Amino acid sequence: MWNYSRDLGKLVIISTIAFIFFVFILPGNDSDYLFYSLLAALAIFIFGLVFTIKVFKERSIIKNIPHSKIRSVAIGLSEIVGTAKSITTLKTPVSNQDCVYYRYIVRQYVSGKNSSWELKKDEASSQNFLIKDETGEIEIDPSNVDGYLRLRKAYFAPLDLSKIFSKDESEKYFKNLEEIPIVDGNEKSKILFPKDGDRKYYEYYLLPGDDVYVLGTVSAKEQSDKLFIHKGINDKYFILGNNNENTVLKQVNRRLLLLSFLLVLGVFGLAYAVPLIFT
Amino acid sequence: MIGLYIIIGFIILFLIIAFIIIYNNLVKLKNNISKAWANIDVLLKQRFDELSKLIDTVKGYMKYEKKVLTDITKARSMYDNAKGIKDMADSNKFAHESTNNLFAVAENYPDLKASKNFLKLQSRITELENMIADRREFFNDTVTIYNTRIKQIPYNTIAGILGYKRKELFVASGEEKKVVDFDK
Repeated sequence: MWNYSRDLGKLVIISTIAFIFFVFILPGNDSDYLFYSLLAALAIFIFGLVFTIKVFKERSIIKNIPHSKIRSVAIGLSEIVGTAKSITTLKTPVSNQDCVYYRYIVRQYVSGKNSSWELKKDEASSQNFLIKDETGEIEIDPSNVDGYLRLRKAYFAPLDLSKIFSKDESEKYFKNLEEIPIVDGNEKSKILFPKDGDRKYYEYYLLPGDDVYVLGTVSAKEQSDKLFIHKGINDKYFILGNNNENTVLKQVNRRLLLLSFLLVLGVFGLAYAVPLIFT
Repeated sequence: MIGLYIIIGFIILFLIIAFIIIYNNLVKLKNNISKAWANIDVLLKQRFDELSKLIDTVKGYMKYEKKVLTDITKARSMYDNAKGIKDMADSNKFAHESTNNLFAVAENYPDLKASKNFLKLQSRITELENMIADRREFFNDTVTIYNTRIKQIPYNTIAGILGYKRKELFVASGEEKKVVDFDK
């Protein structure tokens, strides 16, 4: 699952640099390069348009549906706010905390011409848990959820560490990781000189008692009249977030702003490149 | 010059897409109201079905409380003949008051109060009353979102052109929101 929010910001920066290079710097008076500049602008425009519409629809759905109380929730797409409660024991993979849901991402540094922190693992828990409000509780199946959770823990592991501990000593390995400070869901400090093979571990999770927002499909369980929330076949929206609707909307609005910027970039790119091709 | 035409073209394209998105949004908001209303209706029907069973249970005990029992039947008749939200709200209010009266009168019949069947029905109807109150609140929130949206820019322009009008809230009197506490 793509780490949407963090990578979208990087995508906008890369797209802007690529846009300036392909549209303004590379072509000059060369018609062959002008064609590439047109393609670059068109690609940015189409990406911006498709995803702006997608995120705008998501935002509308969140704003259009009021909260339901659990005791009277109706079958279909519903929005619930409550607190998380566990059904079975679940631990976060690195920090080993009791949780109800987690998402765990591992990135490894690859040095060279296109150095980056490559995604090695993106895993989420699929165990059901409960959401509770003042009127009752309801089960959630979090499989295939679109998580709008805040980053809670981040760790750095130099390559040397994996040479000290074997695969069987994973508990010792995780205990020796260096924690990266997190402020408002963002890494506070950057690793300035990473080496090839260094790793970063990210944890997003919900603890028992955490405030939770969920937008999903309410259905009756098979051979039972008990209701639960899951990703419906016909409803494509299934959102899980920390706190409340406003917190989730802030993240959605940020995505919308970044994607709108790409869209406008694409429009201006096309407006610049097309006339040059025709003249 | 071509660049200017392209920008104008994109502005027109943007306006068309914006119109489609706003129109679809208004349709969804309207459908949300219909769905919210249907979800209340389901519970109102269930409540009247339970009330019918309750009348069958209590009429043997409460032979001389004819008015209380006929009021419930009258509430059902009002519901069946209701046209529109106001009629539904009135029938619901009457049903709620009649149910409360019936439960209050049942306090005078210790044999009835001890009946398991009566207690079960009483509990079920109280549960339904709470759910109806929740769904009325949900319906009113849905209507408020719609009413607000058709007044906001740029929705008001398209809503005005297409004739989208304000919707009525399901107005409940103060008594309807009370749930009789049988533990007192």
